Amino acid sequence: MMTWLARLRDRVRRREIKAAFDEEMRFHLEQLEADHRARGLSPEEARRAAQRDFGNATRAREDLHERAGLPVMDEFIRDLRHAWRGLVRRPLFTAGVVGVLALGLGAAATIHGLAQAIVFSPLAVPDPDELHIVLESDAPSPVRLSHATAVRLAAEVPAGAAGFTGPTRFTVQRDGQPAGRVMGELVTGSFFRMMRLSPVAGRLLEPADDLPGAPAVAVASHAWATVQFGTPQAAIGREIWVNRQRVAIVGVLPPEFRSTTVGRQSDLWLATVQQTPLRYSGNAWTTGGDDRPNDPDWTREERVSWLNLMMRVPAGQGFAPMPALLAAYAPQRDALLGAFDQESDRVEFTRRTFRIEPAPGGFSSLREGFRSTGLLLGGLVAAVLVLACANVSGLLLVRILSRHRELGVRLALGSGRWRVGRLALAEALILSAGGALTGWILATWLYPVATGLLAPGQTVAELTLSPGPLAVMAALTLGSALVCGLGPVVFIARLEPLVALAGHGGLRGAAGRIGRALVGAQLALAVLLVAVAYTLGGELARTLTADPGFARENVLSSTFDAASAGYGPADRAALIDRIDAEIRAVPGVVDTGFSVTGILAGSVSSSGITFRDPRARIRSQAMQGDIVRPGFFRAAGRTLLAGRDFSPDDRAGTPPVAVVSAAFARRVFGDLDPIGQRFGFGSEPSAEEDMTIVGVVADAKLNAIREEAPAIFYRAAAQVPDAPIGFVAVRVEGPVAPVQRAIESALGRAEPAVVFTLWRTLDERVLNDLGPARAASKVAGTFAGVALILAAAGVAASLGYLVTLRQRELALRIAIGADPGRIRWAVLVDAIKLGAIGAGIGLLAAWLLPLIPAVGALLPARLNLGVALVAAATAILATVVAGWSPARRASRADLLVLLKSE
Amino acid sequence: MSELPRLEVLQGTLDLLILKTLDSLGAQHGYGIARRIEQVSADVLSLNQGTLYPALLRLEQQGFITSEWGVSDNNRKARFYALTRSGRARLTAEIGNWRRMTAAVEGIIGAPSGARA
Repeated sequence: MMTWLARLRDRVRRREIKAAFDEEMRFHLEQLEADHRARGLSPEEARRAAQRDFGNATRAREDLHERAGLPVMDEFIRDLRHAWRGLVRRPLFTAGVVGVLALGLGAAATIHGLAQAIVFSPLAVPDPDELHIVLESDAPSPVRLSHATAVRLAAEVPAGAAGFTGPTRFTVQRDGQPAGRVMGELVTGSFFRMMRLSPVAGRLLEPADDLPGAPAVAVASHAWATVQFGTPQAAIGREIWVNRQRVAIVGVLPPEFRSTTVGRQSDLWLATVQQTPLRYSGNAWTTGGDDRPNDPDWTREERVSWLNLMMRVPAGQGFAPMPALLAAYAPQRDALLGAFDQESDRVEFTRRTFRIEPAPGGFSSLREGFRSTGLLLGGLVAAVLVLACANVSGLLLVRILSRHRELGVRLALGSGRWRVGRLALAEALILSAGGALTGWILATWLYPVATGLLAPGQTVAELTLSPGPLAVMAALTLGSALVCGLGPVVFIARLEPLVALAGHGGLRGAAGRIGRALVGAQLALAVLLVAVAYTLGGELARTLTADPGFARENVLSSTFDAASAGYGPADRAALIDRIDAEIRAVPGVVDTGFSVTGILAGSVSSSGITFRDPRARIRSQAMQGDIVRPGFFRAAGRTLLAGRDFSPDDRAGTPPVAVVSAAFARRVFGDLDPIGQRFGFGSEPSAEEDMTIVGVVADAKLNAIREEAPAIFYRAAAQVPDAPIGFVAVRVEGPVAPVQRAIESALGRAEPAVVFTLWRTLDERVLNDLGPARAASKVAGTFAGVALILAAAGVAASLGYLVTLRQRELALRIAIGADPGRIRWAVLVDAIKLGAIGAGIGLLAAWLLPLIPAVGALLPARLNLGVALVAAATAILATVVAGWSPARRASRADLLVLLKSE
Repeated sequence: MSELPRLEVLQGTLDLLILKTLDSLGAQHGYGIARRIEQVSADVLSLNQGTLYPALLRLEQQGFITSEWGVSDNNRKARFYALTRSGRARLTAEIGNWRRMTAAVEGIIGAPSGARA
């Protein structure tokens, strides 16, 4: 190995080595001459004797030349030069092949880059491989546990552990400027120590910052601090208002560290002890018991599970994280068990187990979503790459065929087959390298488009020429070069020199068969891709045109968070009334409605409820719920199927009422009339607290457009103390945009402290929800189109050359009296046969592939065989069109012209 | 003349001779190595001196010797080769191999000839 490296090094300094040798030789000869003169020889005799002693200098120099380098490499460089000259002479052919390969390699680089950024890129902290997260055993979701559990775990894990909320929205104001939304996270005091991060200015959060009574301080991201204050240093000591609480900035993070979650940017980091002052009420599992009310301060309550857990587990130090986790969790487990009043619930709860998994990249909400789309796109890219390679292989083969005489001469003169084959490989390698280079440029354009489509609104790492992508690109380039070169090399291996010289292309069927197989494979793949693309598109079109159960046009919507704007439960209802009045005063507004979770707003809430009618199909179950103000259903265009809507008379003190969705009624009550049914949160009936169902609304796809409409129950906001209303729907008349602007400016004036997220129509929410699917469908459609064009081009080129190869035979047949019309027909039939076989295989694949479970799971629906049939017919038609010109040429083959040309 | 003809250096023994020469003389240039081999062998061995240089490059690539430019006794620029630590180890191994080889060959040719039946 060392010797190889030394030879490689000497190859670079070969000129230097030869110069040194000449110098040494001169010295050597002079010394010898001097010796001989000292023995009494004449100068002329001494010179000759010296040369005799030294021996053959040319031979020595040649040996040195060979020794200073690797002969294999030298030969390959020669081959590359030769191949390069050949390719430069045919610029059109070269550009075409490079273009085809660039398509495939560029698409591969883009998808690989995305997968890297979303699935594999580690957090910007030292030793990210040591980071582990805690998950529920039976679910892919990360577990949330109590603050006390996180603190105990930090004490148990020597290398560090911490709890954090994940990205959440804060309302931030500074120096009397209008309020703005900033993403931030609450973390336990041990968080930054565990991450082993160092500040670029000031200090990071310490355990002391997370103790009760500690002053409210925040750490800012590098990007935010720079935008807000000019430099990180300038941010230190500045005071801002976060959710109406005064907070001092004490430190700034390094620019590379963005968030605990892939694709997100968290700009403000505060200690978890600030949960109560900030009125943080994000994702949490709250278990209430009849024995005592929960402490509203979550950092003091074991029964509120609101922090994700992360820890460092260095490899090979023998630290077992699971016992540490269970020890930290034990007190919380006991506290939770105390909250259950039914034995069955307790038994169910004790079965809960955890998993601890490496998470060098932190959390990712994109990861799960991307996995299926990414795999599908990866498959499509692979298919296009294979197609591109098959196509190029065919074109190279055709090129080799056209040089059969030259090859015959080379082989007949004793050139080794391997040597001739190597030339074809060198050609393939140059073309692949060109394709990779062009493909990379293509990828740098495609990548932002692809991230925009597949991960909208997310901060995804940029595509860079780092070792990882480079290695993958190099491997793909080498791989495609080998695949592309394979056909020609097999052909050369079977070429018979004499037959080749005689002008038959040395065919003996081999090249013909390879060419046909390549064309067939391309057609099959194209048919399959068209079927996949159409199925994706068709499924999407059906989803888009299906009625989601709410009015899509003319309904504007937004979300807001009264708590983070500093409104407590007492003045929240009055705030909503003021917002309602402001919106209704805008000309063009027909109706307004308010709810807690709303429609396609990314939030879902559920509670365990018990039904009182013994005939109900379900006794007790966790069901999705929402809390709405009267008029919400009307504003959002929901249809009331039976009973009545909520009215202003449903208020605190009147009997509690509920409206349920049709799916809820079906699932719980079957054929029973749901109106008048009662249910409640407690296991025993309660005359004051149980709700009576007064109405049924039609189903609507509230959570995600591609999910089933949820079985959901609605409560009246006035009957729920502290209902955290945060979704508003506004039905408008006429053009939406001017009304939206008027609402925004009215609210901005009236309630400057409340931040409303981007106003959107419900239709825009639907489109946004389907974003990744629409992107995948567009990409698949584009790939299918490219595939069909590639395949058609491949057919035309291959058939053209197959006819050229048979030209002598065809001309002879015509010369001895065959009917040109029949010859034309025969060539066309040949093309149709080829098309039919390829299309047939594609059709079969479209039918069989989805039956493989792994493939079937990726597709939203069974492949549409009707479309596959149309694609197959199109493919056959393409072969006929592509075969027409060669067939005509075949029927006009003139023996005399042909003989003259030879 | 009854002088015996000089022997060509055996294939494969050139490396051994070069390493041994550098071991005895210390750093030496190509001419010096050639002279030494011929002198020590009492002019029995004849060396095609030009073949020395590809062998020196090979030994250098294998890491057994190093080279650097210096000045010869008569004040001429010359390249001096020196043994490395791994070269010394290699020399010991090569000498061992050579001894076993010559002993084996000696054993075969030194055996008494049997009477033919």
